[in-house]
Amino acid sequence: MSLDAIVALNRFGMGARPGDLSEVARDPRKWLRAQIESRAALAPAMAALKSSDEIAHDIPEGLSGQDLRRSLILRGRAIYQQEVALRYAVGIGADQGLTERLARFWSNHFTVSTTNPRVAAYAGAMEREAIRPYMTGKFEDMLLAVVRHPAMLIYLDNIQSFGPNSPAGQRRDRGLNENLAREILELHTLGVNGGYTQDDVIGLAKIITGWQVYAPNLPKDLPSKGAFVFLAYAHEPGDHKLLGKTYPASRDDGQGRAALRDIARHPSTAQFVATKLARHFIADDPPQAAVDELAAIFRETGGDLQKVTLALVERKEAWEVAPRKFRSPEDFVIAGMRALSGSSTLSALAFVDAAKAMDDRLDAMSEGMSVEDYQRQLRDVNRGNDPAGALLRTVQTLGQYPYTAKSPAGWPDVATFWASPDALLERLEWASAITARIGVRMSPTELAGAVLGDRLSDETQTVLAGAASPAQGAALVLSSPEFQRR
Amino acid sequence: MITIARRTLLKHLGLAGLSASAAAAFPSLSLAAAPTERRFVVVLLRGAMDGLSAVPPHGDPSYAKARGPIAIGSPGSGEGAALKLDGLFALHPRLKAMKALYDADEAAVVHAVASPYRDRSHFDGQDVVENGGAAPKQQTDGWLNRALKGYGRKDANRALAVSQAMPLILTGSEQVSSWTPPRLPTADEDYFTRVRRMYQGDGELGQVLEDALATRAMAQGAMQEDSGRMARPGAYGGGQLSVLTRPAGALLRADQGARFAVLDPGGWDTHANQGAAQGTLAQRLGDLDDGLAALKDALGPVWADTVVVVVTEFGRTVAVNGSNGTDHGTASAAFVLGGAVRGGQVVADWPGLAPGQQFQGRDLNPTFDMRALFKTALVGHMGLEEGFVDREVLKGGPKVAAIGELLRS
Repeated sequence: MSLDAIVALNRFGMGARPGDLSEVARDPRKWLRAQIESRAALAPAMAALKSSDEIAHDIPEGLSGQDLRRSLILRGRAIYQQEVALRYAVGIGADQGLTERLARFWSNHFTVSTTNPRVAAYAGAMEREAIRPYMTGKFEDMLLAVVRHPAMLIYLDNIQSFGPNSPAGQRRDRGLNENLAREILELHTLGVNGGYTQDDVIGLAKIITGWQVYAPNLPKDLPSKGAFVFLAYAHEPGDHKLLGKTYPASRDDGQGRAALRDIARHPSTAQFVATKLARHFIADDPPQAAVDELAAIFRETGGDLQKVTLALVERKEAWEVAPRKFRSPEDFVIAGMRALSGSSTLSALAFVDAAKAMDDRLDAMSEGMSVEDYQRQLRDVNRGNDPAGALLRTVQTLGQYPYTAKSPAGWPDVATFWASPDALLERLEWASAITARIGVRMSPTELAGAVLGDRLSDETQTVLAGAASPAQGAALVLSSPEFQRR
Repeated sequence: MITIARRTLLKHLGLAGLSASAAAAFPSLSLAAAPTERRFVVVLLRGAMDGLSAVPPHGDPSYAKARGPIAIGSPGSGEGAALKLDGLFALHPRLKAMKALYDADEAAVVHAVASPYRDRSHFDGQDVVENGGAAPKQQTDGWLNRALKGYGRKDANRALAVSQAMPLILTGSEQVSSWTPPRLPTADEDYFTRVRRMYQGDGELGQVLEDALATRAMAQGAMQEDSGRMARPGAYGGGQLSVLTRPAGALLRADQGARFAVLDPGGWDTHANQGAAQGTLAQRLGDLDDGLAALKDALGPVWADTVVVVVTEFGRTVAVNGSNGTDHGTASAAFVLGGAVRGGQVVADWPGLAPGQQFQGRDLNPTFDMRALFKTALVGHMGLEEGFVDREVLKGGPKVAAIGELLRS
């Protein structure tokens, strides 16, 4: 039973904390099912963060042009740092490990990245508003929420796409930008071999023209007071074709909604999503039988992610005791902090402090701190002169900082990418640095037993037993081969 | 009417069956530095660099009109004008170091270049460039990793990814390593000794750690030899390629240092507000230019034994899109530079930019298989056997010929 609990906590969850094992061992599968059946995917601490509607409509007064743009980018940076700090705090402190893992999985599936600085303000909001509420609901609802979210509309340039024959396109001589349409088909739904053509990319691009983000220079009589707006005068008029089906013209975003719902239920989407889920939870090269079963359930239920996820946690391959998934850097940091949280003075609280410090800065900004002063503070954080920022900065060096993936495909989910010599060395050094900084109270053998169970190799046991200090011992637990995989 | 068709070199470059034998293509091979002293660097620009802005074909009558607001000004047209290479081609004004190398006959430009991939997914496009074949996922390892099977030295330090994660191009059964400037306090030796003991029985991590430690030791040695010339290690983000290329130069220069290196800077996916002489793309090109200049500087005397090949997964649309950017296209430009390169030339079978000359009515037509550049470097420069490269390295795609004229030896 305790072996299953280890699998539940480490493979499906975010990593065991001392004390978790006895708690979950009573019924590991029930522990997982309860999380899938509950819809409480938002940690209470997140409720205080700004919504995308608020962010979009909160425009500083008295600024314009370059000054306004600069101020918005800086504010976005501050919101982003607060979101990231809190996201770590929630991941490290969470009782509901599977919920947190699902949030990160889906957030990576629908990657947005601060490689576009304007995304920074909205990236965290997108995960809270468009991912978390739907990850045990319908896939099509998640897709719609994501594609309508400012983070995605900005990141993949849809705010720069205009129907060439729309009034806006004609007057300003602007036209289509294919970026979002292509990545929806390739990365979010059908997959690259899912059976679409260049014409389908253009068809979908036309269908979602006019899907825009509120800006102060837009007309005052917009139907929506939210962040998402449908601008009829930027929408390509007429019927449009996608995957052989004609979507009739509509006066609102109905044409786009209908098209997205259809591709969300497409059999290729079922296969693509099932493969990614099985890869994340079972093995880099997932067993075909598992993929096929998940895809079948996706198809039969019209993309009901609750049913699909329940089936996933019942697959026997997912319970094989030997861990096969090499922990990604973010997984490693969170699992490491969780392991240390019971035995040290440093815990999720450090990240909460970091989030709080960012919050104070945001307040100061809205109360009229000058852009120059704010910029100086931000520099301190980035240089690590600021204690709250220092911890975040060490995490940044490991190479999977939230919302910074280099491409819309997101972070790869295979060991061949993450287990490179340089990356391995950096995480071993991080383990050594973090455990040296905090007061570790448990012996390495106790700690390993509490977070990895009793399945340690002889070699690992011998090395842990001979550790030179509690701090080194804890670093060795984190660096052990058993801890590097989930 | 200007004649656009241009056949600077072999007009059949990249086509099958026309290869001269390696001995004929590289007659003075035996006189040059031993292959183990040669260096080969691949720079993979992820995100699809716009070759029509990097190397504007100012002499093509369709260029200025097709590109509208993002066209680079003709050479001599004043501020922000392109840097003239010849009657047809020029360089983006931010590629100043590249222009100096071109003038010194140490950089060549190749145009209308593509891999065999003809669709428009970044991820599949990069996969093909890195797997070395004709289709995505055709091989699960990278061509540069396979090439190492034919290379004399066997230690992991011979081939480095200058990045944290391992790119596909270097992934495979041959031992390779990766390195970036250290940014955390180094842990003590006692700790690593203990970790090594835990990893001994682990088929995967044991070897990775050994390689990492060997590379770290080699890098420390190289940095000491090179002290004073080095950029200080520190944070690096999207920009500042030189923060990586400068130390990479030192690692390539060291006695038992790297002989193959891969860098893969991103940020080239300019869908919106691409800019012309200034703007998003200009910044990336300026960063690339600075990075390559820093690499040359750090390589010092061994620049003479070096070939650098700069490629991207595909080009971008000829026409400007609805948001003053460009969408995914087909052919782009490439650069080949180094002291071992016979520079000062543009290699291109120029297809033209008129609507009827475009690929699928939207992209620059590919007339050159970039794998020919890889083969040139592997066979002509690094001394790998041609048959081996065809059979094992650039396998699964159309056969390409090495281009002897691109190398000095």
